[in-house]
Order: sequence, then structure tokens, then C-alpha cells
Amino acid sequence: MPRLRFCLLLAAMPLPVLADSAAELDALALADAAVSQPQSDSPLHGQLQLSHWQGSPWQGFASVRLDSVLQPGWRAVLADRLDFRPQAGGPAQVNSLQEAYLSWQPSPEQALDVGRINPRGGVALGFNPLDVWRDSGLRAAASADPASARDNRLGVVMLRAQQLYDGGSVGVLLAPALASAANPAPWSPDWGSSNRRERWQLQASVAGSGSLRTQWLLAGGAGEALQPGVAASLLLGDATTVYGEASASRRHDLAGGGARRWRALGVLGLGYTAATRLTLHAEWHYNGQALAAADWAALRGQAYGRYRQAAQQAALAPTRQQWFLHAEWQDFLRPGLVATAMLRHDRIDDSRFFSSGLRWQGDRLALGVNAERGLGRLGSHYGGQPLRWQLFSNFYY
Amino acid sequence: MRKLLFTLLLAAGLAQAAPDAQQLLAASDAIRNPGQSFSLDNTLIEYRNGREQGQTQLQIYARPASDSGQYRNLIRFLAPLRDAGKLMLKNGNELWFYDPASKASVRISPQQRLLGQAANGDVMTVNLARDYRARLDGEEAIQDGERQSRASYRLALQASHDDVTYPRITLWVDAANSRPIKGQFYSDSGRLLKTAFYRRYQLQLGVQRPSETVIIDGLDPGWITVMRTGNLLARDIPETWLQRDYLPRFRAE
Repeated sequence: MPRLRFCLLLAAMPLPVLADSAAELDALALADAAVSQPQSDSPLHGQLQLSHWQGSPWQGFASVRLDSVLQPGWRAVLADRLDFRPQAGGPAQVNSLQEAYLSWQPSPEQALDVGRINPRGGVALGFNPLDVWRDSGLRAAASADPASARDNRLGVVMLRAQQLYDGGSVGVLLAPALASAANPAPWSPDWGSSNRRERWQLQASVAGSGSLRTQWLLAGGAGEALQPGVAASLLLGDATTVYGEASASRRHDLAGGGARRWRALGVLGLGYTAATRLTLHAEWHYNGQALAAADWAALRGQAYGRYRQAAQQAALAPTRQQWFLHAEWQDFLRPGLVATAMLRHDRIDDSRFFSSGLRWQGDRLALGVNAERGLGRLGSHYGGQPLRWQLFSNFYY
Repeated sequence: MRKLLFTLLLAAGLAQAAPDAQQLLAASDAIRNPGQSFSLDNTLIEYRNGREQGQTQLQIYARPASDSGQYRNLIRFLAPLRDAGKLMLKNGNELWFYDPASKASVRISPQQRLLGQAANGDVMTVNLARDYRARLDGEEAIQDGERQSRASYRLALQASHDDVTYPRITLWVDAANSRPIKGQFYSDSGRLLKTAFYRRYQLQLGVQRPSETVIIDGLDPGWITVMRTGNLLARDIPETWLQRDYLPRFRAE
């Protein structure tokens, strides 16, 4: 009976509602002719970059990443990068063995990794106080983009154990001391840059109420004070995230002086995405290990050089406060174009660093241009960095 | 005369046994989504003014959440090659993006789109009946994605909370079998954001399910995404896979 009613209803209906417009019919015709490429799932990927900085010869790098399941429960990861930098007074090639580890997962909840691993902590974009391994060594200078330094640094040889549960995890990381000094030889695995001293870390992730997520950390090591830390992130509405990170330890300042006391690192940040695919991040960075403003301004000569080197080795800013603004606009003006801009403003000495770029992204190829400039008095955080341009092409495989 | 007959029959039919809109929506959900954990392959082909702009290949892992009944999704990027290995995780309105190059698991907002025209919610497995209140808005014959006339129910969906991609949806479901035929997705202000046709029904996991969705942009009708799904497999997706801390160690076996 329902079938009869349905047939009668169909017979009595007015003519079918046509597709709303010719555009819909065109779209369906286009879909009829669409051809899908076959899916490929290779465990090996990488990229080749050639770039030219204004006033410098062409340089580049090739990177590979192998992530392979050996058999159920066993996985091998290898990441390597070879930089080509024709320059006077230094090797033309520098190899960075970034990761090489074996992972055993006896159950979905438990995992044990051993080898050189590049762990990453924290939730912020420009600076991560929870990333206690940030000083593990960058063998070839990267761009000003903070992501570049994180991507290209060496991992640390360690044993990592993790227990997962629904909504979080707990983990322990143990890294031995392997060498007392860095080895600048081009093909050295450079254990001294990554494993100069024994270090350990305990970490936990906890789901809070609503959209709140937190990470907790306790780190230490030979000759190092305990370093507790916490990070949290929260979603506000459909387009905004807020986040913060902080860690602290009892130590001297970056210059190796000052009283040994609790010194904090911190970030407060906000991310916003517009409907146009423009994503903005604004962050306030605090480095309690840096010198006070007056001491920083008074640094001269060798003391200045030593201090800047110490800050660079610790991967920390030489001053206490900075603003960090970052913008990325996908499909800028036309599909496939990506525009980026970054500003770091040192609140202590009022110096600034600008970086902006435009790149076109194809499936396998990206072509782009970057420009960067530091502004400020000579000897300030960003002062003395003239405008320079970079052209680059990336090939993905 | 024909119109009068139609009106009378429609009125009589509605008065006798108007189908429950929420049940129709749930039945339509059950056709798009298997009730259990599963994985599938997804290819997005994007066109602008008739020219192909590129293809995105994804693997999607979905598991119904025990508390909400909504799906938790893990999406793995296979292509383009520059994005290979990247992951996106969705638990309710909580979204994380993982890049194996930086090892960073970055929290992203629902508005942050990573897939060109397709919103994250378009490729995620979503039970609409969990997030929307449905009202039967009429019965009409509509041209489906294969350009065939189908007797359909037109459902007006209103979001029951803010954590959804689209505040309002008009969904046409086949009056004979509750298959979704077409959807129109609207902003808060009533602007048409996109139109989707569900088509190329195939037998997958024992049910005829759409294997292709054609998405047409509301503002720019020349912007079209063809979303093809295949290799739908019922499989156990452990709870632990679907959380931020698992992203760095996820590797499909």
C-alpha cells in the first residue's frame, strides 16, 4: 500500500525540479569526466631545494625521510638532510643525520623507541618553553622561520617509552652523554651536538574540561636543575585558538652570572583563521634567563660576542621580551599561491625583524621568493641585518 | 487538474503518515556512514573554471565515539607529495594537525581549512542527525546527480549547537530509500556556501552508498570539487589512535 501511494504521488508530481542552474549540470558533466590518479603510499619521501640568496652563490639541500613498518608492531624511521653551501673557509657539504630510530609497539597503548629522535614539546609557533631539546644542534644555518630551525636540527639519541590512554599519555625520555664536544666534520653524526650530557624528561598530556588540553613536563639531567613546565590550549569559537606555555628552573642567567634563582620561560599566544584562509598568530615571548635591559644595553666587545653565542647555543633570545606576529595566506590572490609574513619585535631594545615570502605550490614543485630585514641600532637584537632576497625552488619526491 | 491531484495527494499523504524528518536524516546518515569503525580512501579533484587544479589523496580512519555517537576522524595525507605523511585529527570540535617534518602537533580551529575548497567537515565522517534538528520541508521530484528524476523529501536542518561547519542545511533524500541526493549548505546569514550531489551509488559494506560527492561553491559556481571514496573497510580503530599524542607514531599498517 505505501508503495502504491508512492507511485501515485510520483505520477501526480509536477515536472521534476531541474538542477538549479546550468552551472550544476556543468559541474556534474565535469565530474563525469574526472580521472582520479592512482593512490600511492610510499614510505620514502623527501625534497630537493635550490636557493639563491642575494649576494651569495646558489646553494641547496636534499632531504629524505623513510618511515617504514618492518612488521606489525615494528617501525623504522630515518631522516637525513645534506646541505650544499659553496663558501670560502668551510666545507661545501654538511650532512645532518636528523633521526634514526627503531620503534616497538607491543600494543596500541604502549610504545618503546630507541635511537636518534627529534621530540617536540609545546603548542606555540614562535618559541616553545616546553621544548627542552631545542639546543640539540643545527649543523647548517636555517632561515629565520622558527619552524625551519626545529625541522632541521639534530635529534637526540635516547630511549623513549610512552603509555597512551584515551585522552592522553605519559612518557619518559632518557638520553645518555655520548661525546663532550660537537664535531663539525661534514659527514659526522655529531653525537656531541645532540648528546653532550645526560638528560631526562617525564611528560604527561591530560584532557581538561571542554576544549582545554594540557601538557605537563619535568626535565633534568647531569649538572642541570629540575625544570617543570606546563602548556595549555583552548578553542574559542569556530576560528580562534588561545594557548600558553611556561617552564622554569633554578639557574644563572645566560651570561653565566647573576644569582642562581628560578628563571622562567613563557609564551602567550592567539591564533585566528579568517574565512579567506588567512591564518594569523600573535605571541608574547618571555625569557627570564636573559640579561636585564640595562645589562644587555651595556654589553660590549668580547662579552657581547660571548653572550650572543651563549644565547644562540641555548636557542633562546638574548633579551627578555618579544612580540611575534605570523601570517600565512593560502590561495592568496589565486589558487596555489601562498603568502607569508613574520615580524619579531624586541620589546627591550626596540629592534625588529621582518620576513615575508610568496610561493607558488604545485603537486611536486614549489617556486618562491623571500625577503628579510632587521631594523635597529647596531648591537641590538636584530640591528645590522640588511635587506636580502632569496629565490628558491623545491622539488618533492 | 494535475496540480490539484498532486496537492490533494500530498496533503492526504502528509496528513496520514508524514515521515519523521529526524528518522529520515538518521537513515540517510546510515547510508553515508557504516555504523562501526572503518577506513576508506578519499580523492579530492579540484576544478576552477573547468581546469583541474590538483588532486588530494587521503586515507580516512573513523570510529564512533562512545559518548556522543559522533565520529572521531583521523585523516592521513598521501598526495600531493609535499603534504605526504601529514595528519589531521578531529575529536568533536577539537582539531589537531601534525607535520612529520616539524614533529609539531598544532591545534587548529574548525575554520582553518587544509583541503582547498572542501571544508574539513566535508571529508570527515559526520552523523548529521547528531548535530542537526530536521524538519520535513516538502516532497518534490528532483534531478539527482545522475540527472534522473527522483521523488524526494526535502529536509530543513538547523544546527543544534555551534560546533558544526554549516549552521543550516537543506537536504534532499530519496523518498523510496532515504539515500541522500543533494544538499545545500548555508551560512548563518543564509548565504549559500556550497551545493553537493551524492551520486554513483555502489555496494559497500553490504549497503548501496554514494561513492562520489560533487561539491559546487555557492559564490563561484566554477569552483568544483569531486570527492571520490573507495576501499571502504570495516576495521578496528583503537581509541588511542584518535588523540593528539598518538599522531607522531601513527603509521598505517
